[in-house]
Amino acid sequence: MAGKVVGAAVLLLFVTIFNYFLFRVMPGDPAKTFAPRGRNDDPAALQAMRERMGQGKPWWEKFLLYLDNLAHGELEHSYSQHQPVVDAIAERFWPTVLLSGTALVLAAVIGMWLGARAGWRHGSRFDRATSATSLTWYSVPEWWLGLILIIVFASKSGLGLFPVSGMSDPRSDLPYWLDVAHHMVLPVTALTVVYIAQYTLVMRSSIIDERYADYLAAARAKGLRDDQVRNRHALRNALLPSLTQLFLSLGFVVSGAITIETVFSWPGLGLLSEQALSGPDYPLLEGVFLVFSAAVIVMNLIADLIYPLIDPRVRAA
Amino acid sequence: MALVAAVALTALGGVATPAVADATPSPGATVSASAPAHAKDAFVMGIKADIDSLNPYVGLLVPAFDAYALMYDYLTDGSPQDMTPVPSLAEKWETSADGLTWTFHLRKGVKWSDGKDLTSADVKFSYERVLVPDSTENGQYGSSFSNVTKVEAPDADTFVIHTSEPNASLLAATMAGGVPVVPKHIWENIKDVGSYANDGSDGKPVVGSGPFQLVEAKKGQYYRFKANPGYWNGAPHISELTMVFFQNEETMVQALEKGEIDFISALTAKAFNALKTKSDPTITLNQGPSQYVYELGLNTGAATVDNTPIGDGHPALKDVKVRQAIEYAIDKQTLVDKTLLGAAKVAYGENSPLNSAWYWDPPAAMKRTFAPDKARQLLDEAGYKAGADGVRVGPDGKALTFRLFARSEATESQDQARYIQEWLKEIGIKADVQVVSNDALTDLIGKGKYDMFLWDWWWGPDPEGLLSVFTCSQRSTKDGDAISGGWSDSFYCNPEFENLYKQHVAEMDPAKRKVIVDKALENLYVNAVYATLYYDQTLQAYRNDRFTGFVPQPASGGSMVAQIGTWSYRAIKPYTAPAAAPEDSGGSRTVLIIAGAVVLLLAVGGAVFAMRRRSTADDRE
Repeated sequence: MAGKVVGAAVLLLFVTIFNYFLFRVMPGDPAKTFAPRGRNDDPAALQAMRERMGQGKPWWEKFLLYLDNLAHGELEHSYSQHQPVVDAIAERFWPTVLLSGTALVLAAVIGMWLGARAGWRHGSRFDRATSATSLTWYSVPEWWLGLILIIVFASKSGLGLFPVSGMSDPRSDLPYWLDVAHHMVLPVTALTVVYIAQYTLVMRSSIIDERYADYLAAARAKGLRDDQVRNRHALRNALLPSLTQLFLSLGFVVSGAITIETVFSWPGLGLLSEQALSGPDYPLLEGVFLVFSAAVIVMNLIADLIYPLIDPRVRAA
Repeated sequence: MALVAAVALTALGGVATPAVADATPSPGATVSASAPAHAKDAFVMGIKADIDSLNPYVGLLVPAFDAYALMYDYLTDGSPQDMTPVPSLAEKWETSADGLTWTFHLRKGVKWSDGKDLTSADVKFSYERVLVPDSTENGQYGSSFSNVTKVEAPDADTFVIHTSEPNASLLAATMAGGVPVVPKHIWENIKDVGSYANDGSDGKPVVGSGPFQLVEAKKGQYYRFKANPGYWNGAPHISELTMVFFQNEETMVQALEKGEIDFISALTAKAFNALKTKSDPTITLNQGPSQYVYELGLNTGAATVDNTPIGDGHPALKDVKVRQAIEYAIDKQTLVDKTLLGAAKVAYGENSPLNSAWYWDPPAAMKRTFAPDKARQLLDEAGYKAGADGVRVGPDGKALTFRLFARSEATESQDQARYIQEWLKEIGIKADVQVVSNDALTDLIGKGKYDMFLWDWWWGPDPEGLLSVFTCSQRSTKDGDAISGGWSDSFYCNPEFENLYKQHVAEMDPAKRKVIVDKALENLYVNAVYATLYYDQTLQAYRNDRFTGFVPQPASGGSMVAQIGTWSYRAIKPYTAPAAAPEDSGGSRTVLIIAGAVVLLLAVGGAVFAMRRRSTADDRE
C-alpha cells in the first residue's frame, strides 16, 4: 500500500516537471502578447514587462524558481488573469466539480441501472434499444449536443425554458441555488447523456458474465424471484468493473467538461484552460494541467486503496 | 462607514451569499444581504472577452478599460463628436509658452464614493505612481509620460505637470483610457499592485468617483455596477449596469434575442449578418468604425536599432516599387466582401477613421487602387523580369517568392492570404502561405524572419502611438545573443519620417500638429510601408425595446458603447413603449418550470423507492 502512495507521488513529481518543460519549449514573447498591439508603445516598458514575466533569465534559474514556489504551495502569477494561478484555479474549481460531478453521478446511476436490466435480458428488445441508443449518444460530441439543447430548449425560437448560458443570472428573481440549478439543467443533461453509455455497456457485459453462473442457479433454486436474484446476487458481483470505471472517471471530473463549459460559458476550469490557451498564458496552463493530472493520479490512488476493501479477492492477490 | 462590497468570489455562491448593493445608495451606504430586487432599469451588456482585471494598472482588454471608466474619473474625457480632449475632472487647462508646463484646474466638490473629497493630492498621487520607472503602473500608462520631470499639486484645486521637452500627446493620455485618478487614501495602502484584484474580494471597498460603482464581481460570469446618484456630471438614468461574459457568440446572440441581455458591443461579421437577415424589429444594429486597422505587413529591411541587419527578409521588399506593386495587385473591396461579408471599410491611410480628428485619407490621385497592369508596369520598371515559371526574377537573380504569414487565431487572415496569393500570382509574385500562431509570428517578426504577414493594430485617439511604431527606435534590439523585438513590424526607418515624428510631438497647436501628422501619414503611404487593407468595423446590436438614448462616438456612425468616456452609459434611459404591454412575468414562469421539474424528480424518485420497497417486501415473504 505504501508502495502505491510512493508510486503516485513519484508520478506526480514527474508530471510537475514534464508540465513545466512541455509549455516552456513553445516559442513566443508573452510580454508582447499580453501588451496588446498599439497600446503600449514604449520599448523600455516592454522590456520591464518582460523582466517581470521572468523572460531573459536562464531556463534553469526559472525552473528552480518554479520548483521553489511549488514547494511552498504556490504557482506563478497568471499573465492573462492578473492574479496568482492558485487563486484563479480555486475560483473555477467548484463550478466544474458541480457541473461534471453531477453529470457523472447521474450518468453512473442511470447507466448502471440500464446496463443491469439490459444485460439481464440480453438480446431482448429493451437490451437492443438501450445499447443502440447509448452507443449513439456516446458518439455524439458534447458541445454539439449542448448547442442543439440550447437551440431547442433555451432559444427564443425554441421553447425558451432554460437560460442559454452562464451559471447564474444577475437579474434573476430566484434564490441563488435555484438559479444555478436552472442554469445547470442543459449542460448537465448534455454531459450525462453522453457519459451514460460507458456505464451501460460495462454493467451490461459484467451482468452477462454473471448471468449463467452456478451461484445464480442456486439462488433461483432457493425460489427467489428473478429481480431478487439479479439485485441481491448478480448485481453485487457485477458492480466491481463499473465501480472501477466510476473511480477512473472521477479523476476526469475537473478536466472533462472543457467543450461544454465553452458552449455554455460555464465559469469552470475548462473555460479557464481555454482562456489560458489563447495567449498562451504559460503559468496558468501549467497550473491547470497540473490540477488535471493530479486529479487523475489521486483518484487512481484512491481507487487502488479502496478496491481491496470492497473486493476481498484483490486483497488476497 | 465604508461600502462593504463583500463580493462573493467563492465561485459557488450557494456557499457564499452573493453581495448585493443597497437599492438606494448614498455615499457610505452599506450593502444589504438580501436578494436584489430585479431592477427593471438594469442595463445588461454581453461581453465576448472577460474583464481580465478590475485593477486599472494591470487589465488589458477593452471591457476592462470600460469598467475603469465607469469606476474612475480622468482629468479629461474624449469628446463624443471626435474624441478630442474635453473637460472632466479638470475644468480647464493651459500650457506655458515654452510648452513645458501643463496646469490643470480641477473641478471643486467632487467626492469619492466613501464620502471623502477628491483633491489635487489624489491626482498627484495617481500620476506620480505612473512615473516610477519599471513599475507596473508605468508599464500600463507610462509611455506618454517619458519626458515628464515632475508633477505638483500647488493647491487643492490645481495640478501641474512639468516636462523636459514639449509633448503634444500628453493631453490625450489624461483622457479616459489613460491615467485614472484613484483615491490616495485607499491605494497608498496596497502593497503588491501587480496582483491586487480591486474587486472587493479582500473585504475592502472599491472606492471610485466615476458615474458607477462596482458592487459585484464574478470572474468568468458577470460584473455589476450601480449608478452613482451623486455623480458631479449628473446621475445616470439607469440604476444598474451589468456586463455578462459569454465565451460563445452563438449563445450571446440568443441571449439578446431572448432579452436576457440588452446589448452586444462586438459582434463578428457572421453573427451580425445573421441578425441582419432575421431583421427582428426589436433589435437595432449599429455598424461604425473601430480602433482596429488591418494590414499586409512588409519587411522593409529588418535591422536592429544600431542598423545591424537581422533576419532573412527578401531583399526585393526593400524596393519601394515592389511594395507599391503589391498594393496595386490587391483588390481590397473583394477581399472585404468575400472574407468579411462586407463588414469592413477599404483602407489606404494607416489611421482609423474612428480617430476622426487625426484621420488622413490619401487624395484620389495618390491612392493605389486595384490595378494589376500598373503593378506589372512598376515591377518591369524596377527590373523584375518574368521567369520561366511565371515568377519574376530580380536583377540579383533571386525569384520574387515571398513568405506570407497568416495567423491561426484569425481564420479570416487565412482566407485573405489565399486571395492575396492569387492576386500576387497575377503580377508574377509567388506567395508561400504559412499559418502560425500570434505568438510564433511575434517571434518571427521580432527576428526579421518574414516577408509579409497579415495582422492588425489598435490605434488610440492620439496619433503619437501609431507614428511611434514606425520610428527607428522601435526596431529590434540585441540583448547579448538574443534579439528582442520592439513594436516595429516593418523595420521602417526613414529620416524624413523621424523628423516629422519629432515635430508633431513638440507642436502644441492642434491645427498645426494636424498638418505635420498628415505629412507623416502621407510619408508612410507614399513609401508603402504597409499595404493597409481595411478598417475594421465595430458591429453592435441592442434591444430597442429596452433602452434608448445611446450617444454614438464619433458623432457620425460611431460606437454606441466601449467609448473614450462614459457618454452612452450615462445617457441611456429605459425605453417606455407607447402602449405599454404588460411585462411578461418571466420570473414566475421560471419558478413554475422549476417547480414542475422538482415534482417530476420527486415522482420518479418516489416510484423507484416504492419499487424497491415492494421488492424488499417480496424478499421477506
